[in-house]
Amino acid sequence: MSIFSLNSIHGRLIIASIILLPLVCGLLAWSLDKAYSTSIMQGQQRQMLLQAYALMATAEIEESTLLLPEQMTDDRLNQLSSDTFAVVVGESIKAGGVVWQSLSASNKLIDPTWNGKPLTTGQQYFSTAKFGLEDYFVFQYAVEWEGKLGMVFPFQFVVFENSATSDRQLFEYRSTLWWWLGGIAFCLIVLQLIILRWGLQPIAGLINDLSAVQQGKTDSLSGHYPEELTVMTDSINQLIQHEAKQRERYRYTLADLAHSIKNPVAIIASALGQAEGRAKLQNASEQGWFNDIVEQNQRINQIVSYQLNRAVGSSAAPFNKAILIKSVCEKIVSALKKVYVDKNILVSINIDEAASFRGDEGDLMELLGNLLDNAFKYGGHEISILAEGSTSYLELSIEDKGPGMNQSEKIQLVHRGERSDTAIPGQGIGLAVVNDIVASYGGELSLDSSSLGGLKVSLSFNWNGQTG
Amino acid sequence: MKLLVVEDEQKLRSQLCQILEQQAYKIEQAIDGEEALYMGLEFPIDLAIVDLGLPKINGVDVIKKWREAGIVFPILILTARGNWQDKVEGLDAGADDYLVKPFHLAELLARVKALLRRIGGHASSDLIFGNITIDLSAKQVYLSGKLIELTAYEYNTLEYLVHRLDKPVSKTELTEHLYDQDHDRDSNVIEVFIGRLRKKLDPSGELNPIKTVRGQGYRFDLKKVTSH
Repeated sequence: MSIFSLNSIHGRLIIASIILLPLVCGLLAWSLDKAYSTSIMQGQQRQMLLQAYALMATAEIEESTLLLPEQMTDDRLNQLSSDTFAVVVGESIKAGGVVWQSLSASNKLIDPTWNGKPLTTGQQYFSTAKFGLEDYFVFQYAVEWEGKLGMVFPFQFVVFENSATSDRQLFEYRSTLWWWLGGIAFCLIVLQLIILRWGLQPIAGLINDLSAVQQGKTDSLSGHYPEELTVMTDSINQLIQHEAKQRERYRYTLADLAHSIKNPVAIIASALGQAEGRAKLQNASEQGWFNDIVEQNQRINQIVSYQLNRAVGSSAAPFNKAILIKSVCEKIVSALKKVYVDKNILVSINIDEAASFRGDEGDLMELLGNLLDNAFKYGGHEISILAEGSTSYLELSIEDKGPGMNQSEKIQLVHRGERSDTAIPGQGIGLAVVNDIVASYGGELSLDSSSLGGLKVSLSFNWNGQTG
Repeated sequence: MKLLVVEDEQKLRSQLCQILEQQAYKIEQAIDGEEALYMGLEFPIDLAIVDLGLPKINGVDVIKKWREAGIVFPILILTARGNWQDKVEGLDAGADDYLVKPFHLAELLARVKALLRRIGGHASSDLIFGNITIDLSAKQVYLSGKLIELTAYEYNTLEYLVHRLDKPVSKTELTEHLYDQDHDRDSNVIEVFIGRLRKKLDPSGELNPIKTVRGQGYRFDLKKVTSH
C-alpha cells in the first residue's frame, strides 16, 4: 500500500502534513514580509519627513519669493549622482511650477505628467512614482508661508528618493526569509514523518500481532499496547477466548449427546444380537420384521455417528492457531501400532518440522486418525506418511501397500456411510468425515494409486486464501 | 479368564456380562470409576473392558492410575463419542484397543479374544502343540484333528495355562482367575480339572502336556509348533 493512500491513517496524516505545513509556512512568510516592508516604508517616510523639515528650516520668503541656499546641509541633495532630490512647488502643484529644486535634481528626468497629489495646508502624503525606468518614493508636505503684510504663500515641499536601496534590502530580506522558512518547513515535514511513525508504531504492532493471530502463530494479542488501544485489544482477546470456549462447550455438548444417544443404540444392538443368537423365529414374516429392526438400528447409528462427527468438525475459525502436524501424527501412529500390534506394520513418517494445520486440533486428529486407521486396517504391512508445508500451506499424503481400490470404490468411499469392505468392522464414515472436514477448510482430498502398490490419499490446504 | 466390565449404563453392562459369561469368562462388574479402580488394583483380572464416560473418575484416569500402579492386564476401551482425540487419549493412557459404541457382539468378542491371546504372546487364534490344536476363537480343542469334549472350566483352565506358557501357575492363581469372586473355592477341584485335562489331552500318557511343578503349581509344557 502506498504511503500516500487516503485509505490509511498513516497516508492521511502524511498528506495533511504535506499540505498544512507549507501553507502555514507560506502564511508566516507572507505576514513577516508584510511586516518588514511596512516597517521599511514607515522608516523611509520618517526619514523623508525629516528631510522636508530640514528644507523648510532653511527656506525664507523675501519679496514674495521663496529663497533656499544653493548648498544644502544634506550632501545627498547637492550631488548629481545622488538618489535623493527635492523640489518646492508654488501655490498649487497643478497650477504652479517648481519654485526651487536641489542640485541633485538637475539631471533627473521628472515625468512631466507627474503632478503630485493636491494637498491642503499641513497635509503630508507619501507615495511611490516611476520616473523613466526607476521607482521613487515621493514625500509631499503642503505648507503656507506668511510674508510681510500678512500675505500667505502656499508651497509644497516634495522629496524624492530612489527606492532601489529599499527594494534591494527587501529582496535580500525575502531571500533569507524564504530560505529559512523552506528549510524549517522541510525539517518539520521530516520531523512530522518521524513523529507519525513513532506515534503510529503501536498500531503497526497491533496489525502485526493480529496478522500473527490470523496466521495461527499465536492465539492472543499479547503485546504492550498504549491505553487508547487496550480497550480494543482486550475486547479482541476476549472474543478469541470466548470463541475457543464456545467451541469447547459445543464439543462437550455434542460428546454428551453422542453418549446419550449411542448408549441406548448400543443396548438395542446388543439385545438384538443376543436375540438373534438364541431365538428361533417362527416364520419368514417374523424374520423380516427382526431384520428390519436390526437394519433401522444400524441406520440410526450411522446417521448419528456421521452427523455428530460432522458437527464436531469446527471448520476454519477466524483465530485458529497453527498446530504442528508431526507430533500429532506420531501420537496417533503410536496409538494405532498398539491396536494393530499383531500386524507388524512398518510405518515411515517423513514430515517437515514446520508443517502445520491451521485449524482445530480435534479436526486434525479426526483427519489423521481416520486416514491412518484405514491405512492400518486395509493398507498391508507398509505405510508411508509424507507432509510438507508451513503456516500458509500444507501438503499431506498417506500411502499404503494394500490392495488399493478402483475408481468406483474411490467415489463411493468419500460419500457418507459407505465403505468398500463391510466385513471389516467400522462405521464406514471415516473417509466421508475426512472429506467433509477437508472441504470445510477449503482444502482438497484426492485418492490415487500409491507407488507402494496400494492407495494414496492426498490432502492439500492453502491458508493464504483464508479470510480468517 | 476373569474379565472386569466397567460400564455405568446398567442395561448395557448386564448385556455385556451376559454375553461374556456365555463365552465362559468369569466376570467382575464396576459401575463407576472409583469402583473400577479398586477392583482393578485388588482383584486378579485378566482383561478389563472400560467405558470412557464414567461417573466419579473418568475411564482415562482409571486406566492411567492402573498403569501407574503397575497393572499390566490388557484393556479394551469403549467410547460413545468415537472421536480420535478420545481414542488416542485412552490408548495413550495405557489401553490396548478401542471399540466405538454401538458395536457388534462378534466384534467385541473378537477383540477380547485377540487381547487375551496377546497375553500369551500368540499372534494367531489357532495354537498347535504337536497333535493338540487349540482354537482360541471358537474355544475348542482338537486332538489329532478330532474335537475333544471339554467342560467350560476345563477349557478355561487349559487356556489360562497356555496363555502363561512355560510359566508355572499356582492353584490359588487358577482358582482366582477361573471362579467368581464370591464363589466357594476349593483347590481340590483344580486338581480334578487338571487330572481330567491330562486324560483328555494325552490318553496314552506319552506327551504329559501339563506338568506339576513342585511347590509352584502347574505348567503347560509343550512347545508351540507353528501358528498361522
